[in-house]
Amino acid sequence: MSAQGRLAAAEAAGAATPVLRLRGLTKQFGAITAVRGLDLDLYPGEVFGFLGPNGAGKSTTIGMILGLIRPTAGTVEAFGLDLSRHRWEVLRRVGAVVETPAFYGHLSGRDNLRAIALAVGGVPERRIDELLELVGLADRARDKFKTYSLGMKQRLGIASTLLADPQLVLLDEPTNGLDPAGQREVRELIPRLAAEGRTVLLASHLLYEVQQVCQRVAILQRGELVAAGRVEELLRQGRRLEVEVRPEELDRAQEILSRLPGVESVERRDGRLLLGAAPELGRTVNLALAREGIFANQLRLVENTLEEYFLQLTGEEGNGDQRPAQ
Amino acid sequence: MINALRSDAFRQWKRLMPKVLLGILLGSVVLFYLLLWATVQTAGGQTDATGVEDLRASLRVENVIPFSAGLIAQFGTILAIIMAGSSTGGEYGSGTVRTMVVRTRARWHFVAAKLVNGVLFAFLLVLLGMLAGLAVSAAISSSLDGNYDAVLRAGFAGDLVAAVVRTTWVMVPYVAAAVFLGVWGRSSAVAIGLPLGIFVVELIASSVLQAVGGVFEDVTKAFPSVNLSAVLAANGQIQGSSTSQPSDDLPSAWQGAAVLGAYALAAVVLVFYLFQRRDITAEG
Repeated sequence: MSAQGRLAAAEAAGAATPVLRLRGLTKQFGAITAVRGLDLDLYPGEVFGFLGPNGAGKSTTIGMILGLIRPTAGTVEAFGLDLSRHRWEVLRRVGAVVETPAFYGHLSGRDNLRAIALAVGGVPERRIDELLELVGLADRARDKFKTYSLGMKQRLGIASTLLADPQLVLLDEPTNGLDPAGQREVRELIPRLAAEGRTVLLASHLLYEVQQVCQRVAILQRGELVAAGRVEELLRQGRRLEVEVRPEELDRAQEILSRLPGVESVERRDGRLLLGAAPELGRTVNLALAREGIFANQLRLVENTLEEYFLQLTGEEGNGDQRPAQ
Repeated sequence: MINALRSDAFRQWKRLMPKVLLGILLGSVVLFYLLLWATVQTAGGQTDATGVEDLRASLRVENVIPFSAGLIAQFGTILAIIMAGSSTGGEYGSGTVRTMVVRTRARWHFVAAKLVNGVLFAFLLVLLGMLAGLAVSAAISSSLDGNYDAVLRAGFAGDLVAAVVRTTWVMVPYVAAAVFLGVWGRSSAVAIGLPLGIFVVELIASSVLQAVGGVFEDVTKAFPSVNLSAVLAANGQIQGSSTSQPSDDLPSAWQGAAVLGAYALAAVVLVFYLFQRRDITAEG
């Protein structure tokens, strides 16, 4: 069953216990509220995108999920267990890289994994080799971490998250510093993790990446949840009708359409009109223009990218969507 | 807890630092003995004969326990502070505290491992330093008259073990302080600099206050360095040793050990409290 299917089944059943449940999660650092009343549920086998501009509270939230940061209010529950009372029962089933992967520069990649494996306990030696192979570091396993490129550090970080065979994987900007081929490998790896039954929380500002691999997303701004839901549903909310008419008819067409019931907004962009209207209104729009003797060259449905939706919500500019030219 | 200890020991022992610090201590002990021996040999009868004889006697194998222990307590404490401080503060500097804390069974295991491994390293410094002192002093005794009766007697091994334990014990408060300050300051510089500063300044301050006398002298009895001397003085109270008797002004060895223990306990309580309560963010 696909990840989408598992998620749908879990939601439809209504009985599935969320792998991760955040309720009213709040963190204040002095006068600054980094995260405010955050509610989230992550279900088994889903890849969940966690978006927000820099300083939105993503890393603070992940820090609270990992017990590194004490919430000012609210609860973190994972696998049905309260983190504050069952820290190790929760964390031993969680793999995470928070922001830049931090390892020991004087140790080799293999020894860094061994140090973590010793701390966790019960990790067989062959698991280290498997993971080094998986992330393409087998050839450099004996080299010191301090000699690694940023991309190699990220790969080692991903390997470290999988050491203890976690059920919940938290990845904070996992493709940061990777070359395009490396980014693609990680994008391909994430659905594989979900296919193995793991739940993945992917915090990223690479919205194209998130749109490709995540079933659901949450968008955080200034510590508050501003949107959450299935990716396609969120994108559907931003659907608009695009009307192309002859340039000399543009003003008149705008005037006609702005008076049309059901049209919430009319905006000019690149010589076209973008209507804030339901897709079903296309026929009515066409008819209204034709009655006034204006015949549209094109009338089509335009769907937001996740980046456009994100920018609309957060008002952020230049947030680095690296979507390739289409 | 064992997992956290094993992981921390693995990480620390893979560093160059512990080996370098051990090398410095062993080299210092050997060098110190040899320099003094050379001084004794060249001084001959030219200087104060009693002073030279006392020095010669200190270098003999029967005095290895008090003499080496005194030497190691000074050098070793500095090295143990450097090791514990860099081990703890370095975790914040590199951000690895976040990586490791989420992988430890309980949060406090992380600092407990730092404390235990810091004390174990101090123990290793003392043990190997004493063995090095034993070897050099045996060689010196051999060159004098080949008399090893003092170390061949029954009970010497027990005295040596007791001295190793006492000398390690006097380092424990400084190791605990280095770990606490590493967590508090989130940096190696603070973790090493402050305890070393305290170690040196307090030695000077206690000397000055003792010279002033009166109530000021009484105050020094609470100082770690004075209690350190009190504990180490017990190393000289063994059969065959010809070192001078401890000053009456010093507290008893047990009192000294208790005061040092109280300092260590205070640092341990503080570090556990702080580490349990404080957030670990990207900035540390």
